[in-house]
Parts: sequence; structure tokens; C-alpha cells
Amino acid sequence: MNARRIRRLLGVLILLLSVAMLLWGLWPVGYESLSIPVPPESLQLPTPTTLLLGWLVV
Amino acid sequence: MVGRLIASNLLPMRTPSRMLLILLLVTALLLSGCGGALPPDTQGSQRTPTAGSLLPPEAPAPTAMPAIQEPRLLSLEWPARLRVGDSDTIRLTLEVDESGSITPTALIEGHETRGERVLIPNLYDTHTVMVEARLDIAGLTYTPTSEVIESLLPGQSVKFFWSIKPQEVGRYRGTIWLHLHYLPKEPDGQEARLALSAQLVEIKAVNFLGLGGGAARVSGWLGAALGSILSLDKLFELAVGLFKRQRRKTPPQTG
Repeated sequence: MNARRIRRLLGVLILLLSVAMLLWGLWPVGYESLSIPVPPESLQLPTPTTLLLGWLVV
Repeated sequence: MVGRLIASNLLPMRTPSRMLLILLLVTALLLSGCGGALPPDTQGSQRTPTAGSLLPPEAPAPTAMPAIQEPRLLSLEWPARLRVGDSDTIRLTLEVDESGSITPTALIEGHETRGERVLIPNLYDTHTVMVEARLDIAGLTYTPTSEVIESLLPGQSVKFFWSIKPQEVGRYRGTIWLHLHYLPKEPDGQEARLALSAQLVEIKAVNFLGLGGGAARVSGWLGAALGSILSLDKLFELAVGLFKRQRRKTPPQTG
């Protein structure tokens, strides 16, 4: 009787821990997203000034 | 040179007129230096007029630098948290912005507002535009590690994917570089490379009781089975009974 209670308690503990592991392991990860509008001016062929700025950025 | 000249020839003569001459000479040198540093105004004919700029009514239609005449949208998506040992993707898209509109140009002269057509040569006609993307992030396994190059075509989106896999717990910060490379279609054209965007990404790699994603899932399944057998009596007895019945069916072989 006592051994059965210990076994049940151990089983419930293992089950709870395992369910927590499964939930953590299968839970979908959160994604971050970012959207930046790119105006046509940014896609322009660089002028000497923008070339200099680009060089400074890199 | 100038300092040596002043020190050797002019400084010994300490009359007020000499000092005035030195001051004038230094001022003239400084002014000429500042004038040389100013950039020449070479873009006056190519400057695109914006809203509110004034132009004479008879001015011819200005021509701007060749440009891509479609607004675009840069979309970036990355996992903020990632389990150790799991892999995921970072997605970067340079798509055509359907909702975007090119800013209309209005020229205001006094109280009169009128529009003028600005001739913007299409860059696709004169150049081949390549988009180069690169991910720089330290401490994280990712592919491709080198630069990815795609051609930018009119009305079409460009997508880049990187596969990432953290091996250890930590916070990883990286940069996604996006460059535009303009390759001229004509041999005497102008080749240029422009940094379009540098976006910072931060990814946190986590574990659970020291276990990575894969190990936690395997342990979870095994533990769930074991816990169920131990805690559910009937299920445990059923499993033991099945095992005993199986052993009874196959008697031990005697030599």
C-alpha cells in the first residue's frame, strides 16, 4: 500500500516534469518582424555625395 | 613651410607694419584653405526639385539621376528566442510596396501652384541592379556565411533566407547588411555600390534545465510514458500483465 503511494507520487512528478519539457520543447518560438519603406530616392544611382556617405557608413 | 618662413624672415622685424603684414598673410592663407575645402556645386543641374522649391516658369523639365521608379518595402523577420540545438530561419524580403506612392512634385510660385514633370531615367534600362545581402553574427552557426547576391527586377520581390542554429545559451546580436550593386549595361556606364540598409537583430538562445530543444522533447516523451505507467495503476498492471503473458507464451529453450 505504501509502496504503491510512493510509486504513484513518483509517477505524477515524472509526468508533470515531462509535460513541462514537452510544452517547452514544442511551443512555437516568437518571431520579431520589421518593415521599412524604401523610397525610390534610396534606390537612386548614387551621386558623389551619397557615395561618400555610403563609404562612411561601411 | 609657412611657419619656417615667418619664423626666419618676418618675426625678427617687430615693427607694427610687419606684424600687420603677418596677420594679413595668415588670414589670406586660412581663407584660401577654407575655400578649397568647399565642394564644387556640380549637382545643380541634376537636383530633383521637391515640394516647395522655386523654379522659373520657362525652365526646361529637369532630368534627375537614373532611379528605380517603384517604392519598395524591406521586411525582416527573425526568431527572437530560440531553443539551443534547434534551427530556424531569418527572412529578408525586398518587395514592391503596393501601398507606397512616389511623392508628387509641386512647384510653388507665389500663390500659384503647378505641377511639372520630372524626367527620371529608369535605372533598369541603363543598369543591372544586384542586391547583395550578408548576415554577420558572432557565436551562432548560420548558413550561408558568405554574401548572397540576387538580381533586382522590375516589379519583383527579392527574398533572402539564413538558417541559424545556436549551440550554446546566450544573447546573440548581429547585423544584416543589404547593398545595391549597379552594373552598367553599357561599357562606359557608371558602376556603383550603395549600402541600402544595416539592420540589427538580436536572438536569445535558451535551454530548459540544461537541455536543448531536441533533448527536452525526447526526454519529455520518454518521461511522459514512464510517468503514466507509474502513476496510472491500471495501465501499469496492464503493461505488467502483457509482459508476463508474453513470457509465458515463449517458454525458455533447453539445450
